[in-house]
Amino acid sequence: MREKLLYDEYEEPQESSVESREGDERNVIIEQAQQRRGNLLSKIMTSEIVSNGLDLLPFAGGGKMLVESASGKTLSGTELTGRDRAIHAAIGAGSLVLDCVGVGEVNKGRIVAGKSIGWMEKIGTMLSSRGATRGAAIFEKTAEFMASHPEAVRIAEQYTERKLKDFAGDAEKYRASKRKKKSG
Amino acid sequence: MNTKEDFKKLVERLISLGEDKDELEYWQNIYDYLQPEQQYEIYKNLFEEFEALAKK
Repeated sequence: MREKLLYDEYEEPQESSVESREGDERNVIIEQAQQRRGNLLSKIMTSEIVSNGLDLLPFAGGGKMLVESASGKTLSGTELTGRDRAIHAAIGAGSLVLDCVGVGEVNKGRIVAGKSIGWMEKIGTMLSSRGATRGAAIFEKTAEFMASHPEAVRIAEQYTERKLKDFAGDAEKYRASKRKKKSG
Repeated sequence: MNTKEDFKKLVERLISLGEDKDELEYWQNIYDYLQPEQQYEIYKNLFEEFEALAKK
């Protein structure tokens, strides 16, 4: 009810009355809300994968790690838009599918570039085959959304590739130090 | 419980306040497939943003 009242009373601001300080504050509000939505989308997509029992669990931290590490800028320093953040979140969650090829494959060539839309379709198909039609539809709609924004997808894939390689590199260093300790 | 119509109206208002049209239309496209608690979460996110922007 409160929401309805707010709509009724709301009047769109006149452009001439918008000061630049207010504009900055509005941008901050928008960016924060977009970031929270990115995290929410990653959570929704990951939960669809996990709750429907897809066998992608060992790499389950990947999506969260990727979306939370998206600081609001691309690798080249460009600010992310809401659309970019949604695509980053989707690719982060979709990277769970990498478990199918194994984390060990991460450092061998390009594993993300040109593949993320396929991940969405693949997960959608897997969910659908398990009768999870609602979850499947989320991934299918996301694949369509991403396909209509190829440049944003390319940039997000580049970011994800870099982060996954850093992640795999750290994991390998950790394993090497454990081996060294054991043998020493 | 908020309806899809409420959600659509909220999206339109936010777009008029400078939000990302493509992103919010995407949320509108997946809204029907979300669990009720997920619908609530995204509605809450947008509504709180709308409230904050409307005050500026």
